[in-house]
Amino acid sequence: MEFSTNAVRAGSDAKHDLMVQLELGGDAREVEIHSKVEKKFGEAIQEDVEQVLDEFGIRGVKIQIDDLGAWDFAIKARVRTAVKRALAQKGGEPA
Amino acid sequence: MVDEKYMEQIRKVPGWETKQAFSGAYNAHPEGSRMAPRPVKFFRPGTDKVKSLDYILDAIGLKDGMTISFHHCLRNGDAVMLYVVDSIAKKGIKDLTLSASSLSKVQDCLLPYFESGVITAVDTSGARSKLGSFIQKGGLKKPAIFRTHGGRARAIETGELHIDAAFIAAPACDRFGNLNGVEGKSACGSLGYAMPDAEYADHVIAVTDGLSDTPLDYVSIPQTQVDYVTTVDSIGDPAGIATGSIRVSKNPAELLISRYAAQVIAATPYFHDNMVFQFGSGGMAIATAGYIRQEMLKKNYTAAAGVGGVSGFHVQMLKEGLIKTFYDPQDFDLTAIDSLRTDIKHHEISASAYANPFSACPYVNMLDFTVLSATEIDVDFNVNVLTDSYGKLLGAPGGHPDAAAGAQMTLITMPLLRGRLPMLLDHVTTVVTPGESVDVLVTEYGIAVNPRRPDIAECLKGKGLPLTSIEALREKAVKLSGKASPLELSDKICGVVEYRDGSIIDVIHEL
Amino acid sequence: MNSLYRTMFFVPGNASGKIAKAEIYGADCLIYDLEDAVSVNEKDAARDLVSSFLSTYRPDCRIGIRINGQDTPYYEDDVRAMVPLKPDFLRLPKSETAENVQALDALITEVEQANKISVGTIKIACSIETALGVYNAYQIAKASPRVFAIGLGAEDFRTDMRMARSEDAEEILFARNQISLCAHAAKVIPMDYVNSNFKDPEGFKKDVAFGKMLGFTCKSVIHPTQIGLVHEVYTPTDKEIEHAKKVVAVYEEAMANASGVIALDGKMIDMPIVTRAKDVLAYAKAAGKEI
Repeated sequence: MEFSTNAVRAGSDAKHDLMVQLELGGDAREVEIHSKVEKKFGEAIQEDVEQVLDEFGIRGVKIQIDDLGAWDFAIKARVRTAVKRALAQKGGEPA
Repeated sequence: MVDEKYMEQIRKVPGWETKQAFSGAYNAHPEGSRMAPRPVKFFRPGTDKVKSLDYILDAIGLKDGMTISFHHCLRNGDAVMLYVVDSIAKKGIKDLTLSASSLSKVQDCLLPYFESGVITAVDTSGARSKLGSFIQKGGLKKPAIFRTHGGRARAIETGELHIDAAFIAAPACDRFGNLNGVEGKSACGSLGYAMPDAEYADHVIAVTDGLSDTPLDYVSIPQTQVDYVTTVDSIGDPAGIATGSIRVSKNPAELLISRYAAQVIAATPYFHDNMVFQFGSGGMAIATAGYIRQEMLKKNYTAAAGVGGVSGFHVQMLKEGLIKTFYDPQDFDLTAIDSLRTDIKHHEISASAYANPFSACPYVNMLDFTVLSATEIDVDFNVNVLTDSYGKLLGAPGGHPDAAAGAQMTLITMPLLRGRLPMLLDHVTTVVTPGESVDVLVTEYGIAVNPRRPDIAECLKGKGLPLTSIEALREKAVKLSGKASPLELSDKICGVVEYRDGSIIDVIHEL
Repeated sequence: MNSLYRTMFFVPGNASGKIAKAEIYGADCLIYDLEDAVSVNEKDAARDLVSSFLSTYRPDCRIGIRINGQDTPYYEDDVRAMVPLKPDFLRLPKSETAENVQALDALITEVEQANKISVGTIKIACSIETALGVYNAYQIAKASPRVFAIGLGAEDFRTDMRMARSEDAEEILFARNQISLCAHAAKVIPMDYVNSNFKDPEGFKKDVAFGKMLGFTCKSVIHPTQIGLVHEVYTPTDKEIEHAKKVVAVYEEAMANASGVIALDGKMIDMPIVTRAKDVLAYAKAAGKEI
């Protein structure tokens, strides 16, 4: 996934963690997930991402998840942090 | 457990018409006599057994469709299988069944011979990596058979697995055909897994890089069973055959599990003076053995015997007198190999003696307790040690089901989750060891006792141990890992998993 | 869950793997650390991570959160984000005066009210890390009914006191004594300091035993292997339990028969001995031992 310099990141590349890259904009949700447990948890990760985006009422966004077997609390937390960081960058107003 | 629809498929394979589905760990009713047919031999005095492999292959009349066998005592250092199979292929022989006591990653080099049809059937304990993938792509002519160590010995002795030619990698061998595994540059220790083959194959060929002109002093397999000897520069890579040192786990979660396991054992009547036990040689099993050793010192107990694969840690306990005698089908490191060669309390035993359920009493039946690992377990205590969470071939039954069935108490030590993947499931991906023979599950999140064993549960009360039920542990695993998509496996089967008595306990699916 | 605070195990607040696994080691209490274990660029991420974990999953033990100090820009956000999770307590670093504690108390009250949590639910554990703090230890412990424990932050204290660190921590002996004394005087839990040498189990056990002798009943730990060692030292042995049982039995029998002098194995049993024996049994029971 291509990102501009406005993209924010959250997380890490440690075991049991994930790296989120996120950029607000557009009018659709583009989500790309890379995970070594994708077969079993790909859908769960997708659901987690959607849930957090719903919480913040975000429609237009590009997100790439590089997951290293993180549990779902971590996936939600990292996406939340990324969203908050992106919103802070924009001056606090949801896109 | 195996579905009836798969049994129908299995019974359609020529020769497998009478295969039975697993119906209980102790439910076998063997019939007939232990008389696998074997040709009588005459060996003219003064002739030489040492020949080229090329000569031998002609002499024994190896041809299309036959079964050749190997042992896996050289583990991931083996070079003999490749050498022999390549020589056979050059003769244009095809359609062979490869029967190995197990296959390691090093056997990836055999893939071309699978692809070209030299080998079209497999009978083994494990198959992984490229051979595993080949099998799971449906590359074989009939489903591969995955057996336990004891089950393989049973199949050979009852004639169910007929071996036309056994090629036995021999670290040391004399011109008369006596051979052992404890000497030579490629020493591997006990040759227990080669012994049933040597006893029952039509033709037995020793392949050695340690030919001795004088008769051997230490004999694992005697000259009376060996038809030919052939020499090679090297039977294998010592680095892959034996490891240099003992690996004790340093991971705090694994140490926690190991300590719990030792506490569980110490709280039961199976921990007593003159006990008999088996510990694997994985990091956690060795750590558990370490804690048990401390408990033994505290109580001034000794073990009458140790059974199973040997590593340096077991040898240390043998030397300390904490284990009085050892029955050894396999060695993992140089210390163990040296001990087998020099210590009269350290006995080499065959896979059959170790674990064959159809004998008067295999050594696993001596066990008070055994500590085993697992890749997966389920709420019925069924254990998988053969495939991963996606159904991919990964491990091997080995002696797992044998030790579990034989021991009075079987403990499984394993993490509840590996990364995000729960290892305790509603149903294991592949049943290898039936829950009926598994008594206690020890994880970092708690200990669950099989409801079949209220006596053990009673012993563990009030010991400050995190006792719980297997259902509660399962719930915890689900809660922690989140909802996993169900695993969908193909209806096409490419392998059968045999329980030690020969019944089919599960199948391997194509991937 | 037992009622003891033998071990408070620090878990780095931004390490998802460690957060997920921390409960398995059997600590009586987990403290998710938003302070020293988290770099300044990740304070927001750690808050989100700990919130996400505790709002979906609750380990079966006491839960604390070490927030950032009042002199940092993270302090208020920490309190506002953590109080709604209803941890058992917040651990306040650099507690120096009663006013420090009262300020936190007021802020917690505000957030409790805003979240419809009954006021006073969330307790405070005070880390005392400076000379002034040690001097004020009793006032700190009495500053608010929320305070339930005080403890020494040894590393910062050494820095503040310009002390060199010694092998057996002799230099902090006075401070440990003072904390234990003030804690007992104020009827709060004395928390013994973090000993970061987890590679020397024997030395560590000696240090814990020494702290126990000084009156500490709780130790802050940073490595899983330390947890079992602390419990081993703090939990009465089977022998101690047996003795305590005998003392209580002899005492109760004497009471029932209204006999005067009470003795066990030729030694006089007086009231403090009975009280201690009862304490031992209560502690052993709370630690999951069969009494």
